[in-house]
Amino acid sequence: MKKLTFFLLILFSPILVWAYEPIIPIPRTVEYDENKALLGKRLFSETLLSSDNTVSCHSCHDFNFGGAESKPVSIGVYNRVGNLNAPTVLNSYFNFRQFWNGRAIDLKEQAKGPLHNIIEMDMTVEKVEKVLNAHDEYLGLFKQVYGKVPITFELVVDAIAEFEKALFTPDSIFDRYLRGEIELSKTEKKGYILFKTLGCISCHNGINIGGNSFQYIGAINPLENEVKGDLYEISGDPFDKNRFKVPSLRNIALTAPYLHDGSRKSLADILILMAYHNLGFSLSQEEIALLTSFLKTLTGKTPKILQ
Amino acid sequence: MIRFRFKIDLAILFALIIGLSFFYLNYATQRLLHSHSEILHQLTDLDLHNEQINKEVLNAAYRLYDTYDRVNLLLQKVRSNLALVKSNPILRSAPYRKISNKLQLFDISLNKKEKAIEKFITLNAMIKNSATYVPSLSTRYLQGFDKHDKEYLLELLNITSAVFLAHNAMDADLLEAIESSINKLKLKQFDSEEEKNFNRLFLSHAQVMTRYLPLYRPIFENILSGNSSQLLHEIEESFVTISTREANKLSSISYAVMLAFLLSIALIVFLLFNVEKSRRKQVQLHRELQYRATTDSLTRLDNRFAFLQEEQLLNDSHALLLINIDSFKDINDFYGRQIGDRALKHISKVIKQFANAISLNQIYRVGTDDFALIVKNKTSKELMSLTQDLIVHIESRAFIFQDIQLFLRVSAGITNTSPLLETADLALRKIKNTRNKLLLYSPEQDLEKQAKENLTMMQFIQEAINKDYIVPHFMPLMRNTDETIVAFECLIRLQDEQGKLYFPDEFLPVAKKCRLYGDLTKIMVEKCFKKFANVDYLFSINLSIEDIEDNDVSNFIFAKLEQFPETGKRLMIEILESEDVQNYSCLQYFVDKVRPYGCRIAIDDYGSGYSNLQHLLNMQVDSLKIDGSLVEQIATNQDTSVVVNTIVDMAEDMGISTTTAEYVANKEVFKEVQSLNITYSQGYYIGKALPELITTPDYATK
Repeated sequence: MKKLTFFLLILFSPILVWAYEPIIPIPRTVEYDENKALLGKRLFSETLLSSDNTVSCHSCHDFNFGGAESKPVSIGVYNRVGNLNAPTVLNSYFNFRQFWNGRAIDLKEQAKGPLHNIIEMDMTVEKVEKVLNAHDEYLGLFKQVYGKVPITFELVVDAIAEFEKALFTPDSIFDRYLRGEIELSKTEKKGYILFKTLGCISCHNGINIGGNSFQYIGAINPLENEVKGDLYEISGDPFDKNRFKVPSLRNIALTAPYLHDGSRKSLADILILMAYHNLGFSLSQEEIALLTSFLKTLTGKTPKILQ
Repeated sequence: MIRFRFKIDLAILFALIIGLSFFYLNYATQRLLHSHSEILHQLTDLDLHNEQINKEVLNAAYRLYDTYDRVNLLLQKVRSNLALVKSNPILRSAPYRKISNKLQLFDISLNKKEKAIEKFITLNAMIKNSATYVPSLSTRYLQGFDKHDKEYLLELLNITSAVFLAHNAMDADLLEAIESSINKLKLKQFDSEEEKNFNRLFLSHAQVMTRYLPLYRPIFENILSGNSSQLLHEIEESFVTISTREANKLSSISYAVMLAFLLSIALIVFLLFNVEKSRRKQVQLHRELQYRATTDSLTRLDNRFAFLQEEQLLNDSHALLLINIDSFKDINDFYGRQIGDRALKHISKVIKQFANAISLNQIYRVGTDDFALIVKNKTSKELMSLTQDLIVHIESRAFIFQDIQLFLRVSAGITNTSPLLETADLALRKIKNTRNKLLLYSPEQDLEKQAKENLTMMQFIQEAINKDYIVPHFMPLMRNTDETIVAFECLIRLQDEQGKLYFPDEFLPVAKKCRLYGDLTKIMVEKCFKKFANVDYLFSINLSIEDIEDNDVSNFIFAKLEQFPETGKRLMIEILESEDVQNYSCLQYFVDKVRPYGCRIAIDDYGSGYSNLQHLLNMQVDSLKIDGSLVEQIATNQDTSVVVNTIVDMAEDMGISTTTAEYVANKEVFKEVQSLNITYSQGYYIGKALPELITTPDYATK
């Protein structure tokens, strides 16, 4: 009898596994310090934080484009051109690492990157502190929020990170479906099942539908062009060649162009690319349509702090 | 005092040290306990999360797909757990250095593990996908193409089953068998592009398996069997060991502190005991001092100090008997101080005996030979009779030493007037001037009054000398054989301008005290010599020892005898034999000096008190004057008669030529005096003392 039970358990265990949804809805509320976040919001679009006073965080993380940029790659101070397409800042709090190659453990660390990057904002800790401490309004704001001045670099990135924490987009159609509040349309549902059966889910899962592991681009068929900005650039480990942090699919309908180099302009383009290079085959038109309709259910509400 | 202060300071210091030690121990124990439970809790959390990571890795390996969020979250938790443990200040202290080092090792292993998990997830995603693609592609080959190359299909199935087995067994070795199949597929030529693409896709997925499965299993095993868990358990174990050791250290210290505490308690008990001991000693000493201060060491009676203390508690109902030993100074001088002391002891014992018998116990020795007895609620009459009894009691008990019996004489002053001691003393002094044994003080006997009277008397005596108030009176002496007046005793009287007469009793004691006495004597001698210059009568003058010892007076007498030898031949000098005679040689000199002038020497008041026969013999006295108190009773008291007879016989035996009887007041006495062969009689029966010489007896003229 025991043996039989065990056998049945083995037999039906895949069904039990399928009962899990590998995608988790974004919580409706995330606790954050509103004063810090508002100060961070101000700093986010502050061009004083760049060496030529032309670039702010917002320059590349445009909320009109889902917190990402419409250009293929970022353009920084003095029109210096970067290598990579800026990933969306929305829901970035839920990523396990930041940057395409995941070199930052959290948002605070991430915020320092573009500020220091010569191509992007081209600032130093001293410069940032000098600029802000010379600014009466910021002195007042920091005093009010943190209860202390002078303004330090750490406080600046803290405020920005707090703002970014507030940039979560709950209540997408798909999240509401996961919560059992609504039903997906047939195409959307089919798209989701296809997403799972094709194996997209293997990398795009979790709360951010991605953003929680490193994976290869071109796992089956390598990309034609030489890849830039992968993990290999920082680790030197051959294993890390073409290895990136999996990007989130949240709000993907808003964040074109796609791919690390912003080389794919539409959802269909990126779907075709990903199917071929990472799964090894070409999607049918029907499959593209189904997957696209699924991906469009992932657009959430505009964060409260941006309303 | 310094020692005491030092001891106190030391005790306070000791208490502070012990107190602080207790506080420190309490603090250290709490800290240890708190840190211990905190760290243990954190380590347990760490261990739990670490194990959960393994579970998630297993999950990922088992499931076709799942979210990686959980494993990331757990890694984050492990990181923060680790940071918490590391930040605990107690781990920075020396005994826990080992733990810190091991935590560092764990940190390194955690980093490795994280990297391994990241790699595992990358491999897992590809392998899971390809593991599903390979069988599904085989199916699609059957579905998607019309004509099937059986051999090709066999190779596909061959690869499919090997991939299935190898994936499920997680054993890359099982893929070795399909290498030839893969090579065959690689070399195969296809007619259609579709078939070619299919083959490429299939090969890609099969090659994912051959390429990544050999990496997959070691990483998987490495994660699960990594040393992080073992390291954590080691950390927990050594932490428990170290903190147990620390706790043992603390408990050793606390035993030591407890011991010190008990020791200090013992010390305090010891000190308290000492203090109590010395306090008792002090009380004892105080009592002894009190006893010594209030007790007379000789007689063991309470002393004057004790009396003065007691006196303050006394009231009107109390009375005091003050007993004084008569002539105690003589006893001391004569027998020596040692005997004197024994006499005092004897008398105190006797007084005590008497007092205790009537339930009195307040007896004090208030002076050298003064004993005080406090009595209560007694009338004056009762006091007098009580005192009389006491005196009899004392005087009837001889003080015996070296076979000698000595009857001590005492006098007593009685008082119920405050201040008791002073008034009793006054009464006692008053007695000494009289012949009484006891006297109850009355305020009239006040010393001040006495002093005033004395002063008045003194002024009067001076006036009497200056204005010649001195009127000698002459008491006739009758020869008993022929009842003829043959002699006169010259007695001093003062008569003031109003004609009032003053008797010697009234002024002589004062005169003696103020050195006017000698002048009075000289005037008397002068006047008597004049009076008896031209009559053929014998005359006697009274001289006291003071007169004889006074050179001025004695020289005056010698000069008179030289000047009037005829008168001097009829002079009889009466000396009062008394205990006051200290210097017999002086007396003897005087007697020897006057005798050649034909002067006679008489002893006055013989038989009244203290008479020394030896001295009488040496002085070759001519006459004895028998004391009036004896003579008075001569006719009524047979015993007195015998005594007087004895004196007369003795005088005759000693060659004393004449005897005189005083106080012959009536015929009966006179007859008796006559019958006893006494030479002369004097007294009111014969004649009173008058300024004129009476030549016939009174009884003859009546």
